[in-house]
Amino acid sequence: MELFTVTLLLAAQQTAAPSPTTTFPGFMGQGRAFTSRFDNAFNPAMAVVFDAVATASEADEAEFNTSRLRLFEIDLASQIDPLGWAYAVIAFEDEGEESEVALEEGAMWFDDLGGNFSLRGGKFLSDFGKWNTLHLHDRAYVFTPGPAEEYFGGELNVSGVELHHWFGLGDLPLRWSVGVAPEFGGHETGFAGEALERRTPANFLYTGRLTAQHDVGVNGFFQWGINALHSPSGLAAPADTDGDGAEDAEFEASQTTLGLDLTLRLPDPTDLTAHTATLETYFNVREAWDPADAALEDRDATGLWGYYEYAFNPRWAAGFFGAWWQSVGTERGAEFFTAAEAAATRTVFATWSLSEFNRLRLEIGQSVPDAGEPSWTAALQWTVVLGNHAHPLDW
Amino acid sequence: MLHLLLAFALQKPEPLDVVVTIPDLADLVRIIGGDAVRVEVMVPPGADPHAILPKASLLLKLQRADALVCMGLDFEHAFLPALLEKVNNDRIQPGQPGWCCAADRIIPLEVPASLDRSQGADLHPRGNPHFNLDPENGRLMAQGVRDLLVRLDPARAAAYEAQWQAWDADAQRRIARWTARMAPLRGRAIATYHRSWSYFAARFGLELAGEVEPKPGLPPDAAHLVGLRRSLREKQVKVLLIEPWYSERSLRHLLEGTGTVVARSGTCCGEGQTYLDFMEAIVDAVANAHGIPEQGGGEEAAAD
Repeated sequence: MELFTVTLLLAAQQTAAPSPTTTFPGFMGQGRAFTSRFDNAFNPAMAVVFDAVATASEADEAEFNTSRLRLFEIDLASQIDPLGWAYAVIAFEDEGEESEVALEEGAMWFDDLGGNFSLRGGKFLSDFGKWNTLHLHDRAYVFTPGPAEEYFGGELNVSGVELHHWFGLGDLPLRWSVGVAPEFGGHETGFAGEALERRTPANFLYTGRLTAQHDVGVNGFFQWGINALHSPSGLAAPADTDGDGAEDAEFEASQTTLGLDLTLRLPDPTDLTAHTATLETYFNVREAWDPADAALEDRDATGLWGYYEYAFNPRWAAGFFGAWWQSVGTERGAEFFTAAEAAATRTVFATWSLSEFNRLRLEIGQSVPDAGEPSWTAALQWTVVLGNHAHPLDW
Repeated sequence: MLHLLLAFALQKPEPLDVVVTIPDLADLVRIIGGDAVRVEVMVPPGADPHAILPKASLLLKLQRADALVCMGLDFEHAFLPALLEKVNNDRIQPGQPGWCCAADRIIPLEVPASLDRSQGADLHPRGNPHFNLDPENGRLMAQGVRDLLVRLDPARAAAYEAQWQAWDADAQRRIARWTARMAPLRGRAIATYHRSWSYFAARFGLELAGEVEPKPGLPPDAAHLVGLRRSLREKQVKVLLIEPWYSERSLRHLLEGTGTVVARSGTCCGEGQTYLDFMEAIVDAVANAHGIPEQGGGEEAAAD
């Protein structure tokens, strides 16, 4: 799918390119009557993101005591033709011991379907919750919220299609989307180490979202959204439930997640202060392996996270972040699906934007794991954006 | 049946729904369009257009609009491109009859020869977008609004033309008065916080002594402020124009002993202001800071 998307992107440039572009006689005289392969007029817009994080923690794990370029990301975007546009996000991620290059997103948008319908296809961050479509380096805090890590393996990244529609109910704007994805997996690859491949509709991932945005004040809004996700075969990797040392080929543990998100944004454009508060919750019903009965049974797990941030001005902002979640037990092997403990994190953060494209953030917080001792972690994040940038629709 | 037909024939046509980006354009559309238009403005009075959220209710307004009037030159970069990408209303897309971009009629200043972020964070590749601060450009903006309304609603062309002519006559009178009042200041320098006032300065022959921002969109540092302070003294700068959303904190030491006063003004109309009153207020602020009295303009304005 990734290869397909990138190829399409490149093919689109090729097909868009070959018309004569200039009538200047001087150019004609120099044999420049046609666009050559070296002209860049039709090249995609490009941006590069550096996201470096240094952490120091009481926890022993090496991943919490390190300084690394967490992410080097290349973003490309271009119109394919009058009907649609495409984008790709290629990430070079430092995972500590090893690094990897991944097509994080590569998708096409067709916004002109009529009737306010649009279609997205390819590999992308699913429209599930208010924040899932926003890359981590664009968020107000440093780390992926624990509940998202626990239930989806990080940001929910899918390969499939998503249909969007927005409309007005009187003066209230509403939007819904439905998606189907043969391939899916967490951005942080927390479950299986890689996106899982599902090849029949019975094994696809199905998502849905309904959201509305109410104006508050002259420039703010209150937004709510309800989200649903269902996978007949779950988001988890096949497991060795019978203890024979091999993953069960027929392992099918379903997952259904309902979510609710609430967001209040109050930016004051007359003094450039801004309040942002958000809360996102997930209610999971998941088939879990019960070793005692040697059978699958339903397990519930609930998680929520949220943050509040106050921007004193465009340069300085500070806030706090909190998350609490019940574990669904994601370990393979004997401990698979046995835990239902709760974990939590609480942090405070301060952000200093040297400019719109250059940002430093300090985050200090306590993690309370579902097993083990609480620990404090401090993180310093430095994010730099080069090149083209856009302000996407905020809903 | 006859009653129904008569009622239909006498029915007042629906007003045009016009969405504008800034209050200056809203004022022009209201004056030239009169009762024949309903106006929605996206940037509230007194607001920094860079801080406007591209939120869903704006999308809904655009969806229902017969026309969109915007500034262009990336003035609305923070919100309009994202909205136009998603709105499914062909009437208001660029090049369509309901699209009116004020920048199409003006000659932009400060078009960068090359683009490089070392020149600042708040760069406008197509030129400085604050052209509404030159009242002659305001007249061009009004012409654009007139042409838009005539194009969309030719049945009321005569009314639009008459309303535009009345406004334009008033604008010309006022510009003549402002030009006369500002004439003694030709060649004098003013300072600004952000590079928003180039068109205003060019119109009245003022020199720009410098900006508080070392580069557009970057906060001032001590070395830059020392240099600016020297410039304020050497050029005997009397006034520093600053938008309401910038802090004056960094200016206390800068202005000490320079004789420069701060004049606060947004770069678009404020609450309850017409475009011409807004321009008048800026001229007043600059002229008053230099001790230039009003030249009988009060009576003329009252007579108008």
